[in-house]
Amino acid sequence: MRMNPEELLAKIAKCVERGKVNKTSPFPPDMKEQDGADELTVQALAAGISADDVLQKGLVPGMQIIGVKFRENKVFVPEVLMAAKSMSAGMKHLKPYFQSGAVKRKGVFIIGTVMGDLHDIGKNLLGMIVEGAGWEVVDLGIDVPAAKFMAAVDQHPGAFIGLSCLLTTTMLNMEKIVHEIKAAKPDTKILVGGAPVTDDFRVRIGADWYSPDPQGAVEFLNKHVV
Amino acid sequence: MKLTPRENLIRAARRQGFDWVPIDLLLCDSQVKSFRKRFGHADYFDWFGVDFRWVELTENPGSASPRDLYPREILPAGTEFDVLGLGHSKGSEAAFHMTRMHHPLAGAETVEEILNYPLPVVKREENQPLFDQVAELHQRGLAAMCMMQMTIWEAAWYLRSMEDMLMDMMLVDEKATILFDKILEYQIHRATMHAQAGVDILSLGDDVGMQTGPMMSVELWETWIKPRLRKVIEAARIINPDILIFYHSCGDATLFIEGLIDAGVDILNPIQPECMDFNAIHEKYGNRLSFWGTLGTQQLMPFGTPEQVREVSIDRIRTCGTQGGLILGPTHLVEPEVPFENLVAMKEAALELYPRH
Repeated sequence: MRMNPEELLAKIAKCVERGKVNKTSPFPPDMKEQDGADELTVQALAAGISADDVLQKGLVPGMQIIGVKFRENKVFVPEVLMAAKSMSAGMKHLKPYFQSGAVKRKGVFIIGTVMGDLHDIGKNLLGMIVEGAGWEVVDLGIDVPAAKFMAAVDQHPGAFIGLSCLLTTTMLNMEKIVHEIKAAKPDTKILVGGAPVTDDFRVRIGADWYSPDPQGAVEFLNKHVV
Repeated sequence: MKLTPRENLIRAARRQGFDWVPIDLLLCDSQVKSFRKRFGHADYFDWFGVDFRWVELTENPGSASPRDLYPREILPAGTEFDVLGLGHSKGSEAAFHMTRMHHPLAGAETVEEILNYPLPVVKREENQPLFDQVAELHQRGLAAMCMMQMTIWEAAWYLRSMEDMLMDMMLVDEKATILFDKILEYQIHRATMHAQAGVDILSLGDDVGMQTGPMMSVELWETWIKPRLRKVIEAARIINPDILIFYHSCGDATLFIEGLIDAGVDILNPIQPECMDFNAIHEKYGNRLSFWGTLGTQQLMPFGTPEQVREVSIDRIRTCGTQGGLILGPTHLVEPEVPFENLVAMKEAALELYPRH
C-alpha cells in the first residue's frame, strides 16, 4: 500500500515513539514484521520527501513524544533506549544530507559529567533525547574539568553546555566549573542537572537552566535556536 | 524489657516493639579518618551504638586472569577487578574513592560468551570464618548482616552494561534469560550459605528507582527480576524461615513496594526523602514493611543543621510509633561534606525519645 507523505512521516514518528527499529526487530511485539524507522526513512526519501521534513516531521516528533512521556513517567529508560535506537536507524540515512548542508541541526549541545563524578547514565539519556530533538550532541564523557568544556566551546562557537552530577560531593565541582566557564565565556548558556541538583542550587551557582528531566532541557534549547 | 542489641534490632525490624531506636550509618574513607582522629579508634559502629555488624562471605573469582574477560576493551592501566570480574579504574583526584566500572560482557554477541562467563565459586569448606563470625557476634549479643546487594538486575547490567541488558530484555533475547539465570544460581548459593551460617539479615537490593520515578516499568521488573528475587529469598528461608530480608533500591522505588513485599521483602532501604514520601509510604505499607534509612543524603545530612536533623529524626521515630519498623540512618554512604555534628544529632535524637540504658 502506498502512503502519502503525511502518512509516511506520521508512521516514521510512530516507529520512533514505539522503538520500532527495523522490519526484523521483534520489538514491539504488536508491530512485528512491519517496517521500522530504518525502512520507512528510505521510502520517504525515495518518495521525494525532503530530508529536512523526514527529520523535522518524522523522526524528531517521535522522539519528542517519548521525551514528554518519559517526563510523565509513562515510559521508562528501556523505552527511551529503544526510541533512540529507532531514531538512529532513520538518522543514518540522513547522514549525506547533513554533510551536504541540506539538513541542519538546531545547534550544538556539549554535555559531560563534572570533574570528580564518574556516573553517566543520566547524562547519556539526556544526550539521546536532545539528539532526538534535532541537536548535535558532543559528549565529553565523565570526570570532565572546566578546561575541557571550554575547549569544546572554542571548537563549536555558540554551543550550549550541559553539566551533570549525581553526588552532593561533586555538586561543589559543578559550581566551580560554572564559575570558570562564566568567567571566561559569559555568553555561554549552561544547563545543569542530576539527582541532587535543584533549581535553587542552579540559581545560586549562576547557571542558566535546570531541569529534572531531559525534555525540560530540550524545551530550553529549542527556545534558543538561532 | 532488657534486650540485647540483636534482639532489639530484630524486634524493631519485625515491628514488635523495641528498647531503643536502632541506627545505622556507613562512612566514606575520609569520614572514617576524621572519626579516627577525633576518637582515637576506627569502630564507629561501636561509638554510634549500631546493633549489628557486617559479615563477609569468602568466594573465589571465577577467573584467575580477569583482564582476559575484556576482549573488546582496552582497560586503563591500574584497573582493579572485583570478585565478579568487573573492572574498576580510577578517575581524577577529584573523584576520591569512586571508580569507573567496566562491563566485561558489554557488546557480547553470542550466547556462548554469556554461558561461559565465569562467575565466582562459593564453597562451604572455605567459609568456616563466616560461620565463626556470626557465632561470635551472636555471643556478643549483636546481629549479623550480610551484603548481597546487586542481587539480580544490577549484577546483570554490571556485567553486560545497562544499555545491552535493557535491550536484551526488551527484545526478549535469550542472552538476558541466560545471564539472569546464571546470576540467580550464584545468588542462591550465596543466600543459602549465609542462611546456613546463621546470618540474621540478608541485605539484597537492585537500584530500580531514579530521582524522578522508576527506571523501568513495573511490568518489565515483574517479568524479569521479581521472580528471581523471590527465588533467592525462598532459598534463604528454606534454611532459616526467620531470616530478615532487607532490600535496597536507590531513587524512587514507590511503585515496586507492593511487588517487593509479595516477593518476601521485610525491610525497605533507603527511602530517599527527596523523591519518596515517607509518611505516605508508612501509612500505606507500615503494617507490612519496615524502613531502614530515611534521612536524606542529598539535602538534609550534608546541608541541613543539627537541629533540622534532630527534628526529622524525631518525626520519623514518632511516625513509626512504639511498634518500631524503623532503623534510622542516612540514606546512603556518608560523603565527605556531611558535618559530623549532623551524625551526632541523629544519634542523640534516637536516644532522646528512647534512652538507652
